[in-house]
Amino acid sequence: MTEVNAARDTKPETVQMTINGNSIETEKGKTVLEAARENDIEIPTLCYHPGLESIGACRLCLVEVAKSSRPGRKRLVTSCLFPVENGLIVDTQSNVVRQHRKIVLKLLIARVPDSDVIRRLADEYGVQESRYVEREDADKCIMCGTCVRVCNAMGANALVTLSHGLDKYVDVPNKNACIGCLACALNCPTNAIPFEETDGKRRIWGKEFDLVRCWASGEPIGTLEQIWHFAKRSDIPIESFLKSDKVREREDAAESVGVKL
Amino acid sequence: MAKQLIYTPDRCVDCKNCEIACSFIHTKDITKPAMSRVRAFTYGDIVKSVTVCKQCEDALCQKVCPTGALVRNPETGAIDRTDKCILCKMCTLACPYGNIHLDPIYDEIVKCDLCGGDPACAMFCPTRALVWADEPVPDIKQDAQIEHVFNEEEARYSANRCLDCADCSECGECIKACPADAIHFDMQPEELEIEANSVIVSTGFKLFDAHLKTTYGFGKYPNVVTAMQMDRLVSPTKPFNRTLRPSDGKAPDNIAFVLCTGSRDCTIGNPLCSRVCCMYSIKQAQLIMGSLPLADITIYYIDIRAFGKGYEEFYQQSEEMGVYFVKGRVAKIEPAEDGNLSVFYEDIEGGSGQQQMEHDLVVLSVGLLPNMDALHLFNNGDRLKSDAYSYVEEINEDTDPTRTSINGVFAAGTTSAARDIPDSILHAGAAAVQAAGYIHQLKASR
Amino acid sequence: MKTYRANVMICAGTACVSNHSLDVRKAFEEEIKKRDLEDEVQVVTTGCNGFCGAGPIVVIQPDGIFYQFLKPKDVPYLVEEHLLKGRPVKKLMYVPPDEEVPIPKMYDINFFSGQMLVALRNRGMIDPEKIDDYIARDGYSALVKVLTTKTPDEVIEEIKASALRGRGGGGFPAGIKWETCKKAKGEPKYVICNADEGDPGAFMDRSIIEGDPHSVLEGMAIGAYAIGVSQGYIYVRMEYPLAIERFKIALKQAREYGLLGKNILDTGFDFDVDIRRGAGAFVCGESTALMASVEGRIGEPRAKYIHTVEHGLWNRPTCLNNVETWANVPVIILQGAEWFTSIGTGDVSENPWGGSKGTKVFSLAGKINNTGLVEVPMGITLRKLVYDVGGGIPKGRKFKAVQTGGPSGGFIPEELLDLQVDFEQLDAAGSIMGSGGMVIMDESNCMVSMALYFIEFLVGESCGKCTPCREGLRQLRYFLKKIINGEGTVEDLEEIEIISETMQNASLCGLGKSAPNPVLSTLKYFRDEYIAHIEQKKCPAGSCRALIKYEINESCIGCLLCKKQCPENAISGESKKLHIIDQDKCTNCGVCFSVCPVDSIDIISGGEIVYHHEALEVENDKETSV
Repeated sequence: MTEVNAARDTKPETVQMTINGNSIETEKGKTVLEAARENDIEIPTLCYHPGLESIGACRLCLVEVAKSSRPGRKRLVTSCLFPVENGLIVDTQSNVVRQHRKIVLKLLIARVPDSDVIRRLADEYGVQESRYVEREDADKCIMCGTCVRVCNAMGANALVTLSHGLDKYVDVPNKNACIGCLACALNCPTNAIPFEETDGKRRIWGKEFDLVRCWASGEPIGTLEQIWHFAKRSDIPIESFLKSDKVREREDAAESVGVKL
Repeated sequence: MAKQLIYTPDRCVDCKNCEIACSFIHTKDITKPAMSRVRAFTYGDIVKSVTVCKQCEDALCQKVCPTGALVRNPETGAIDRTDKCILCKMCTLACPYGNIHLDPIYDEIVKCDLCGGDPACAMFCPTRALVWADEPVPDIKQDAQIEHVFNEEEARYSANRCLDCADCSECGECIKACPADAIHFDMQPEELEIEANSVIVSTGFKLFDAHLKTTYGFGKYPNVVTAMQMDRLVSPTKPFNRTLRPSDGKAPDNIAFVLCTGSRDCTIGNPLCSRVCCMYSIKQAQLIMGSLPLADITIYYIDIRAFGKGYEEFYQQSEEMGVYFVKGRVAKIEPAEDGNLSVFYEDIEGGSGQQQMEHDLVVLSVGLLPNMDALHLFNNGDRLKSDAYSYVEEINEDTDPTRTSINGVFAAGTTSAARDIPDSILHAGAAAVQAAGYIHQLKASR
Repeated sequence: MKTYRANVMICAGTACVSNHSLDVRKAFEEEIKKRDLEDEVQVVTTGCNGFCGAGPIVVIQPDGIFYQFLKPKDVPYLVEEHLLKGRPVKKLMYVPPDEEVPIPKMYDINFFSGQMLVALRNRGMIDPEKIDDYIARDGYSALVKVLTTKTPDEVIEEIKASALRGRGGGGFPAGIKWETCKKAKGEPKYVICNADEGDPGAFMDRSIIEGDPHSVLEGMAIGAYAIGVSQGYIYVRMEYPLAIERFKIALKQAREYGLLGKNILDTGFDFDVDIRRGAGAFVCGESTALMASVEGRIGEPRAKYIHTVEHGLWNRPTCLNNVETWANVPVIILQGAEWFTSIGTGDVSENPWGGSKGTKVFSLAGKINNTGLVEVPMGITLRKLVYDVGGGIPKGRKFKAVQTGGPSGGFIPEELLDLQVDFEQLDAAGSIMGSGGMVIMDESNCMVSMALYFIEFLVGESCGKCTPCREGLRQLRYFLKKIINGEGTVEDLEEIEIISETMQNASLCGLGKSAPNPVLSTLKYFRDEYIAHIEQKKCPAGSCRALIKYEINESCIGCLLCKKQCPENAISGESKKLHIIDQDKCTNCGVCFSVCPVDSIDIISGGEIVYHHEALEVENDKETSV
């Protein structure tokens, strides 16, 4: 998990490149997308998340790159994966790039016609009417794989992609593995994962969880499975998890001035 | 040495400026103190505390983060939450001090980032309770002492202009403000005659006048105070905002409580136990420990009567917190140097006879005495009988509480005995029911 | 060592085996025993002979006489006539289509004479389960040569000089790949043999493995020595059980002989090979998906900005080559790079991409007389391949197109038949070399349906990870189906082209990038067929069911055959009277059409008669067996 940080602790060498005509200095080991975002150059993404390994699935972050030794020989690459190098020339808004982003978005609208997020993005790229066929019984999932990667980062590894090709879908085949932490739903770019919390219970992925409440304040902290999972992974005693952060804060503040609550 | 947030609890006035400043800086469009990264608390309305992320060296939040989203900022030294966060909320559960939270509206994890190197909370603290410095910063008041605005003559003149309007100065502003025209300064006391079917007498108690216990020196030595005065000295609105002793304004650090002042004492005519003093004294001791954490507190007692639910535990907790309980009747109090006092007591438990201890402040835990005015309420016809201790008598205290010697007249609260607050309320409820029952009977018999 | 006066080489490749060639073998063994010829005649089971459409095949050596379509009941006569009396049996020999005189010798048959065997050098000559056979034909001598007389760098130089380009379809120069892998940082390094061969209709690699597995192992060992690898993997698709079996036997025998394993031939060189099986996914033929599968992860490709030669299997430098590429390596070592570059097209003295050298194995399938596996020099024209080696189009029909390179490739029309088969020329024509599949089509194939066929195949095989491939295929399928069902519009063609362009440029892996190739090349060369489907609701090939109807014409003899066969009872008519098809009941299944003995059923489309199909050929055995 902190491999990325560890790699950055050693002093990296600098790289000079150009993005949209601007000279940029960045560090070796970064991707074109990171270099662009550091310099406030916007590249749209859907499946990218800075805390997760990039997979280049949505294809929205495509940019044109060329080496300075052969500027005419351009390639279309995904900026979330393409490593920076000296002399790289990047164009994030060329006609070619815009055209392909437009078609990718048009294809996505056909896949998730109910998603406002995708429609708004598509509007920016001038997608008007489309003669494409809409997916039957479409949900809002764009198969970006973020939920699966988040679940793996959490250590629960409950979410997987099943089947393949046009019928590929995401599900939790082993319900025991889901800890109900909602990380998948909160990070989904199109809010495609439904969940609800009523009557002290949380329901997601067809599983019902009891919500554990803070013993002092009564506010819900999380599901029991989530808390056990955290306790096991962190060697922090499970009792500490049964108080909400607000209660712990109050207690710590009291202790620091000698008040016993 | 690097700068850090330094908090001095004594200076804190719980104004919550820090919370407001923090939330304003971080949310820009609206101020949401509930999502402030720094939190101010008051305990028992007296003790203040402010807590904020300690930017721990070996931070648990950093350790448990699965994506490495919590990163130490090399310039500010703070641990910043980056956009690698996947909202797993593990950090909010892991921090032992609870200083990292989930903002449920914006769905993001919030924690103190030291505002990039110039924390707003310290910038806006009016009393320098919270400062961003590399060493403790002097009190604001000490600053004021340096500035000599007036010379002595001007100062006296200005001081004498004071209207002493802490009491009502009859300026009339409240009359102007009241929309219900409910305030009339010229209202005089009126005597009204009401015909009633039942009367509940709840005339309360009188506090023992500590002057009467001459051996304790109340009134002679300025640093001997009653518990009632002590209550004022530790209240949130205490003078000078700090607990000081009367003679020289020094913060006391060796306080004595003398229990059973005016109770269980035939020499002043009250052999009864006042029931409340042990507990209120222990309570006060705890409060003092909050505002004067370094003070030693000694409680001289005959017996500790901690009779209710949780009371014994409270007593034991105080002992654990460092209050000295000395079983010994205080005989006399003599002055010592610098306004201190020598307390002479008999060491009953240790068996070493008469002992002497010096304290810089003595609190007399004064007891409850009956309010004998109640006995003169009924002058024509039947009179309210008093019991052997001059309280209004309940003629069948055990089986038929609150009933006095006069039919239809009931006693409530400390009119008839020393009671603490919960018991007084209970007793009042009983009196109310009795009165209602009596009236009902009257109506039924007509 | 025993010498025999005759060797009966029985083909035991998968096709012949499924045609009961092992029963033929048993018949031979029994007959030879019966006739007391065991000391004179040896029965050898070989790998695929190549002429798969004519199996079971037996070649009698040293005469080189070729027998086809053998059945066990033919064997006693054959043994008596040929082996005892010295009179080869004409009736069992090959007769060119539309001719009558049989050709006895294998190398006189066009199918064989036009070929040049390099990768398939041992085809039909060895028992693949006997390492001694392989060694007897110079097997493993290239490995010995390399281990004893050449340094690893010299080996790489030789392969570079030969300009050997990857035979799996990418055409990347193997020498450069080996060199890059050798220079890459990371230990241990790996070599992989890609035996996933997923293209429908392709069986080149299967034949090489089943017929001559040691050629692959030797090639891998040489490559491992050159790059500095001690562990190799062969990734075989699950659907090739015989190939896996043959590899296992070969590995065992090679290890026994000290040709694989630790300290090979006492030279200090260690190299061993593990077999990994696929699980039925076409996409696992792609190198990064294949490596993911070997690692035990889901077989999905990843972006290749960081090449697998630098970071491949378990993030280590990995050299992946196709079966056929590895099989070429020992020959190049023995015969030399110069010899190899004398075969093929172009000039590779400056740049290995300047030409296509050596030979290539192709599988000829579809509407062609000689169905089977051929190895021809690069640069042969398509015309020669189709009409000479392939024997032309059966039933005298007209050539329409040849599809090369499987689902990633395109269609070459008749006007380009003189194109030379090499990497660049096929690319320029809008197709690719691919792994060597060649499917020939005649006028009864509808090109729009063919495009849809490949799209449907890829719909089933796309991994689904990236948007352009997954969603692009969904839309291409939708638009093509619309056109085939007679609901297409001209705007649909535009949409197809726009989506195809995005798929080609924006997809994550080669599957998506090349998926539109069949569609685009049919649009390029057969656009009129698309227009006919759209504007006239007509399928010129008479194939799209929604656009055709069957009608019985006057040549009907009233035989009642179609009426009996019709599953919908849609045909009415009496004996010796004209039959009529009720169009309301007819579902266009085509059964009547295929059973009519006198070709009296027409296919109508778009208001015209588009095609007369001849009746199905009567079964082969009526023509050829005794």
